[in-house]
Amino acid sequence: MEQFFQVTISGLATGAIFAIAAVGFALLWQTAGAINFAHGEFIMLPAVLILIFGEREPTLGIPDFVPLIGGINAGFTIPPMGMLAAFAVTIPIAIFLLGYVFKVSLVDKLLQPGGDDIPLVIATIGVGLFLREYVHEAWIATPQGFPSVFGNKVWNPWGVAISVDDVGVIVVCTVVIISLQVFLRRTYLGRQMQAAAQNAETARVLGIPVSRMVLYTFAINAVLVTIAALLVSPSVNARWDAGLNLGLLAFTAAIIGGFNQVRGALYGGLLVGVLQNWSGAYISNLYREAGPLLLLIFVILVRPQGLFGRAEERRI
Amino acid sequence: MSETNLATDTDLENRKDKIQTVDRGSISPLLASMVIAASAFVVLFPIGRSQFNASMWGWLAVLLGLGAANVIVPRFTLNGLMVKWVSIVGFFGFMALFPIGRAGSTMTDFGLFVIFGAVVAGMNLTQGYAGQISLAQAAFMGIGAYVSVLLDFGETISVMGFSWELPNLPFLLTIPIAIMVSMMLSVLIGFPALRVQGPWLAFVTLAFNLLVFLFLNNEDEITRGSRGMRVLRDDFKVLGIDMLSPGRFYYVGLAYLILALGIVWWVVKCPWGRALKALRDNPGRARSLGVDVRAYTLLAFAIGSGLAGGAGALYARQVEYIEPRSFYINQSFDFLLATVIGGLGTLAGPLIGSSAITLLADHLRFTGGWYRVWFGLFVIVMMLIAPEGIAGTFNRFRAWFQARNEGA
Amino acid sequence: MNTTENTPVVKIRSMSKRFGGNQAVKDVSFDVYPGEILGVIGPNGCGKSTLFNCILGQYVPDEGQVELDGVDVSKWSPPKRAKMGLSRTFQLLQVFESMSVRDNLKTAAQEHVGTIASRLFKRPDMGLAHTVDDLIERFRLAHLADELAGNLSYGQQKLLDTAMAFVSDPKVVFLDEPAGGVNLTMLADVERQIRDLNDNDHTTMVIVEHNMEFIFRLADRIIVMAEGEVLMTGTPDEVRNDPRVVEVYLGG
Repeated sequence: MEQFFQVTISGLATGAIFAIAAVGFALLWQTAGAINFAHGEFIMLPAVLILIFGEREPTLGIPDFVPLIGGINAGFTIPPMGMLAAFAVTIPIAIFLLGYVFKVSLVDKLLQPGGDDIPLVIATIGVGLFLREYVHEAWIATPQGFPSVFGNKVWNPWGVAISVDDVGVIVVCTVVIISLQVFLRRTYLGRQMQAAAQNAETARVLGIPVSRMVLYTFAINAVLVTIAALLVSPSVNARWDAGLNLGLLAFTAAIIGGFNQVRGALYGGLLVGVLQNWSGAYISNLYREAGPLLLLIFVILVRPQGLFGRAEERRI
Repeated sequence: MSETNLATDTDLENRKDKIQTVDRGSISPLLASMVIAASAFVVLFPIGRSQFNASMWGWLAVLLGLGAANVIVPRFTLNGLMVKWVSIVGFFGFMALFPIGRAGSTMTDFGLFVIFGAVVAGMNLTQGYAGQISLAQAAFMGIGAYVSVLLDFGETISVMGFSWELPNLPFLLTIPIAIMVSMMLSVLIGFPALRVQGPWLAFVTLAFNLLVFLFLNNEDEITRGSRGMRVLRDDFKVLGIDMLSPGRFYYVGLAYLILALGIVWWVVKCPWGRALKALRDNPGRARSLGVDVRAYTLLAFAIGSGLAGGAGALYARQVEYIEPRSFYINQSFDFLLATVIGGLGTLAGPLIGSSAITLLADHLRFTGGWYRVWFGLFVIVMMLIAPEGIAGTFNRFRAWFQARNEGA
Repeated sequence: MNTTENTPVVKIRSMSKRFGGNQAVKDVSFDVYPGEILGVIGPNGCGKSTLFNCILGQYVPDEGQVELDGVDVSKWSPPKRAKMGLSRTFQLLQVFESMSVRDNLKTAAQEHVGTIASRLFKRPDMGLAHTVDDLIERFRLAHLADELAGNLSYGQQKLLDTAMAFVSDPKVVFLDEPAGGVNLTMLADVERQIRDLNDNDHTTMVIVEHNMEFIFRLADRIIVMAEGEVLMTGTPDEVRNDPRVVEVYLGG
């Protein structure tokens, strides 16, 4: 019985991270119609950046960050700054690259209203490949350990082993999701963003700057994936190919939950996390992902709008 | 079971349920063609030097001549038809004759080129003609490879403690079996995924690919797991000719490629081609006219996956070693990118795309992995300026050129 | 004398469809008799197009049955209903813009011949050239036969769209505003073609229309809808003179 609690709580922690990742993915899909196959790499990149800034001594300048040109060794080395500071530094970088640059250079150019969304899908697959291989060549070729910001202690209430990390993750994710909900529902800006997502034309008529609202959504997604990166990397390590697995599980969570609403992606994430741990513990650790993936196929078969999604509405 | 119809009236109005072909890039055909031609030259020149030496200039002249002829001579005339057939025969003649006397390493490359070419051709049918993204091509290739190898060598497998010695079948017979198994599995996962419109097949195939990998990697008693399996070509003869050397086996791959392209060509030429074109152009209208969109899409997906399965059987013998890692999801992404870069909806596209991930990749290996970074970047740029792919851009350029001449 | 003359070829029973708070179609029932032209009119928003979508399968109705020649097709997908003999056009013109006029018609015709499997082994035109050419002639599209549908004018596309509904020799054709947006010259053409198809081929048709004169001239019977319900059914004269109909149009 104790094992069941351990496995489930641990699963909820992982699930909470998937929930955050899934919410970000769902937001991009709903508000901009952008299906981002590089979402996993969007989590991997901040993880690597946080690690480099936090624990390594990066050389900022030509060689380290632009080795494509390579050769010259001009730059200055900065000392490791610790995980939390690194996190704070990575957030604006993520917002810029994964939010602004991504939106303006790709999404805006490739998503024409009434047109085909396949070029964007392909382009995001290209982005994923680019990020994976770049990180692999330039920064980390082998998996690197990633310290947890909550430490490694394990509590033992009632004989159930619960790690502080798991509790910390659940708390942080809860706060993040609640904040997001409050922001979207209770603030003026949040309601504007919802309006822009539901019906861009009407929103424009009402004077809402839709393009800017979409940009904010991309920025929010960038923050969410950075948070997810910080929280998930202790378990999966910082590796160049972490994105493949993480991305797939984030998509799975979003689709199972139903990405019509933030709530759907949230429940989907929790479900995927718990299911993954149950599969690992009670079937076989080798088939951990099988549980969520089989559920994904089942959900698409019987209820493609997701378990908590609404039918006949493909956007919010 | 009634269908959930997720397309609303407004969607029909805004043509949101149309799967449009990617046949309009954002810059003019002339500019796109020039960019592509320039990149091609930069990349291929050193390769040409190493493969052809002095005779490179002769070959280049022939290539440019044929290319120019294809562009200038109006397509639908008798001359145009002749040019087209000369090009096709010339290309396959070249493919058949070029390898004679070449080094083994070159032949390994070319062997992979034709096999992957067949995989990409299958994917072209699924995506270029039926408009569906499949991210499981590598999985089907893996399934075909393992099925073929296990049956060919009569391996013993254990399922749940029950040991079973598989029959020892001739290699050539395992190919259609591999194709069948792949097709059946693809229908199994495609059927639920294609019930409603949307990107669902992409996600289902991605999940399927990972599931297949987990199975191949973990079921040691069936697949030998992550250790992989050594595959030897030693007991294989076609028409009495021994197929042992890489040079000879290449022709088996070439034959399969021609078969794959032939099948795709046939499907497109027969009435199915029209139905596929219609369902890509306007699926809602197509359905109202009796086009069973789901059935056609599923069939295109099944054929594409089947071709990948057969290619897997050949792949196993080409590289003489199979392991689950070769069939992981990044390989499926590669096939997808190859298909798109080559050009959807064309017959030359798969050849171009396959060469990008085999021949070209091998020549660029000296960069130590950076060529893959550039590949990703190239895909992004292609989607921005020429989403119809290299072959598609060529077609667009030709259409523009010939329209200009007619108009003038 | 064929007794099936008086048996409806299509029976609609209790068709209802609601979208959120809006009851678009409410308990609509009617019959369609073979060889007739049945008009459906009503003010904007009365549910005509929604009704068509429910009958032809684009929408899943909340309630209702559709019977074709005694067979309940209520749960069938649109392609299956089309193959059974129910064809339609849409209010918003829909043709295959990337294909030629001829190919558009061939696509519309080919799915009714044989099975998918058999079509894999047929020649590209499947022997349908004759049928397709016949319709091209009747709709006066011969000079455009090999032109891409996307290059045609609106009116020409409209003619093609309508022709596509007839090429498969369906049991009942549902036309959604065939005269919509068509100029006066073409309007006469459309009317002539519909009249021709009904007189010579005895094709049964159900036509939604806003153009009153057009439908009054063509229809044998007319159903008037208002606010999702059937207001009345009758001959064009009866409808024209019914005070309720006048009120529904003027009062709305």
